[in-house]
Amino acid sequence: MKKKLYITRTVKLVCLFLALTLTFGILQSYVLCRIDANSIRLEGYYQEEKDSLDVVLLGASEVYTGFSSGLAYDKYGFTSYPFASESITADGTLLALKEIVRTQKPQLIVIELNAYLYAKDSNESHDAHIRKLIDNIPLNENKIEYISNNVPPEEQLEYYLPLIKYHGTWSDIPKMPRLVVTKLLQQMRGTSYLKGFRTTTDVFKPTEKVLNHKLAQETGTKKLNPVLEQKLRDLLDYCKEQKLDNVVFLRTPHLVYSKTYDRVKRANCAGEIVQSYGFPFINLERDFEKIGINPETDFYNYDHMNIYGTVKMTEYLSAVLCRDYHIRGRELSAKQKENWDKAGKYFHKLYQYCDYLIKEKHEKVQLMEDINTLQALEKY
Amino acid sequence: MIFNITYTSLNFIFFVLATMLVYFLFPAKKYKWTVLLAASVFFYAVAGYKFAAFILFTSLTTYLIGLWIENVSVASKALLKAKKTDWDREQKKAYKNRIKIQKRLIMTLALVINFGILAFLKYYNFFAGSLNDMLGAFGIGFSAPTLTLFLPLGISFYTFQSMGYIIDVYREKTPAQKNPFKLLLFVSFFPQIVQGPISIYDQLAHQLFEPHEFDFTRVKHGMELILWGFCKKLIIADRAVIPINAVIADYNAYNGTTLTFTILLYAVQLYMDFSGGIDISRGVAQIFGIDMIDNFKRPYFSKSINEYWRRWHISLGAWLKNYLFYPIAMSNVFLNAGKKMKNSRFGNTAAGAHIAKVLPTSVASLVVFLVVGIWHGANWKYVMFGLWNGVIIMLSILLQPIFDGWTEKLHINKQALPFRLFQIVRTFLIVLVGYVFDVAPTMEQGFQTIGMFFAGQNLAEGWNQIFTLGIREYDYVVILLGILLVWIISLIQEKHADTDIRTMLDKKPFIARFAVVYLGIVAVVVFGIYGSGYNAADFVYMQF
Repeated sequence: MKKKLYITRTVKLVCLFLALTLTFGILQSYVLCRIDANSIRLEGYYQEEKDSLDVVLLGASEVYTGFSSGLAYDKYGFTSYPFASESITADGTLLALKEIVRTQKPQLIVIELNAYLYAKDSNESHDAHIRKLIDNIPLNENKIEYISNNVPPEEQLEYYLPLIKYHGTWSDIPKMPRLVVTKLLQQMRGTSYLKGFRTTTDVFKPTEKVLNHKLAQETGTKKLNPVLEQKLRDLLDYCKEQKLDNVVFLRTPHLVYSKTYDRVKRANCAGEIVQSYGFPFINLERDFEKIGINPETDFYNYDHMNIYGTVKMTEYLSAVLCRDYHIRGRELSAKQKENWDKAGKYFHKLYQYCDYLIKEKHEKVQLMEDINTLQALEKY
Repeated sequence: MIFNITYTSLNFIFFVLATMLVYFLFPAKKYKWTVLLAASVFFYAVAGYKFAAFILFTSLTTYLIGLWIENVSVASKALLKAKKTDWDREQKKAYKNRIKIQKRLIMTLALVINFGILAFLKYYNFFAGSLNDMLGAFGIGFSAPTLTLFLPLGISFYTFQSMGYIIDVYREKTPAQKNPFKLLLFVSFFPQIVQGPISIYDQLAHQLFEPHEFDFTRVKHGMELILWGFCKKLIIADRAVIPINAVIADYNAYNGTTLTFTILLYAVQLYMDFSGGIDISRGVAQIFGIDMIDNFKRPYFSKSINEYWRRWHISLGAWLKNYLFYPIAMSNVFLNAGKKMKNSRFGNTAAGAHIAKVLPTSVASLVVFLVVGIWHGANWKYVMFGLWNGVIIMLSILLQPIFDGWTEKLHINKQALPFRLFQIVRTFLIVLVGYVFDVAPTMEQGFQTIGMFFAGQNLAEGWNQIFTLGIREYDYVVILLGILLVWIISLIQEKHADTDIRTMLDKKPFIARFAVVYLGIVAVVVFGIYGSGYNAADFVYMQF
């Protein structure tokens, strides 16, 4: 009799435990969490088959707004993906590199240097910028190491159980279905169509005097923030330790004016540091004219190119990678090929859609891999 | 704090689970209490290690003085027995009186030492500041220095509890504890150390030292009570405290409507915070087989301020009644004053006879509430809070015949629902006026606030201000729903004479019980205020 009672109680407790685990699992993954372009992009990266990417680009928003993997595949035949997160930190860059090494064996890893070029190191402790990356990395030894080294002990649990941090977002639920459905559909498809690309449909008219014409000749340097320089050296040491001879550093084009001119000099300084370690540095800010970028038409703000700039930079950078680093598209399975062909087509649809919205002077919108954008692209 | 081990932290949950595991698997039944002692020492070491010396000192002095008083009693009784035939009645009486004085002196020593520490740490700066103000007003240049003082965790609670024990030993209501470690457990028992309840030795001690086996129903009930406490604290109190803190931070910026709303919200927050915390404490104790006194009995349903104080912070009220009110009311001074008045010409009138009868009680009440006020904090506003309650109670006792006369003349049925509702609302309003002095930063601002209840109302402006206080409309909806739930459960308990909701729940089908617990946990996790995005408020009564 007692035994039966014990069994019944145990079963009931297990049922409660399972129901709660399931509930909190669903809430944490789909409802009480931050689903945005970053999470959908990184989810898309982890959906790529192991060792299936030829090139991985690492960096901040410049990378996923300035480079389209779909276009690069369509034009140059190699597969690529931006492992990029909004205002990625220097610590986050090292973590992202470790993740790339863990999950892919690309012919080339291209690291954009933006995280190291800030005058101050405050971005390193910017909670939102940290969480936008780390929350979207699955639990593995790199994530555990990052949390142990960078997060105060009393906050570490929140990184393993993001529900603790985001449970208060229940009041945002009415605004969320678009992104929840997007995430679910992408998970069901098993692949992304826009390969992490995001853009804004606008043509930016700078109010400041643009100084990009001076950049081709600019060889001056300015010292990096000491904290960020050390973090750059840590990254380079890691590359050396891991014998990563497939790493290239990159600076993407920006609209430069007097206030941001120092950043150009810091990029030159960072380039020199990178080269002193024996790694190549591609400074596209100097190649403004070669790329054919028009400051009047190719940006949607000072730091980000619009769809027209994206096309120019993607084509130029892809050409450089193929020419100077001998990137060749690998043999793809039928399924992989089908997915990448779709990615190529989707970029062209997106281009037409953006072009339409810009030329028809519609209100500017952000376009990313969400159901609204994908539905709109079906018309093209 | 070495790490966060507040009652609503995950660390505390793990700590309780670990203690449970060790306690119920501990092989030596006779020494199971040592697990609770070790857990209590660990808890205090983690939560308030810097001040552990204070609680150890209080425990030690309480232990030694308790034994001393008992030794004097035992020795005197033995001597009286030995001298039974040698001494005459007068000699015995004189000896007994001498022993009584000796015991009283020893007890006073314990009270002076321990209340002295509490008074110094809690009130020194208040008195020094007040003295400086006073001397400054007379142009005297003397200035008492102010000191940087910190309050050890739970000092008010463990001091009151320890001194209650000393008085009980003095009164020979309880034998002195011979084992210093058992006494240390009584003083430092971890579920009650942060905010009470203030337990009486006779009621708690034997439960602490008895070995308790694992009892599924008891453990389940304990956990359900903890869950209920979490709901009240994390969902309602810690949400409501955000706008309250916003108002306090910029008190003069708000109009009468917003201040009225804040005081109302404070009434909700304080009750949910304190009673939620006590539910957690009692739930944890219940898991280990220990029934602690309930500190609340739905105080906002009280029909008089007297009744309110019998339902609110019951353990403090009981302590003050036993150890302060009765000694004052029953003291020769008060009894003689009452008798004198009764025998005077004024005492021969109806009013005089009544006043002579209730004078000791009403004055003792006033003194008790002054102490309650001072206990709440070292600030004149708390003195005012105590005085307000004391004066109301004193007047209600003194003027009782007049009120009775009115109700009789107006043919009011005291048992009728409308009158009872009127009494509840009236009492609640009186309580709210007292809360003004809790919320207002100073006593002067407290009086200004009361003035603004009448002269500073602006509904439209107040409505707009309410939504700029750090929480959103959704949060107010959650608070309202929470209040509704607590109110319904309180009504059930009120109607069914303290029915234990958990026992009622036990009789429901499995699916209903499952749903209640499941929804309770989900509600706490989703709607609770916790995590680094929020600074969950400490328990309000922790500061006392």
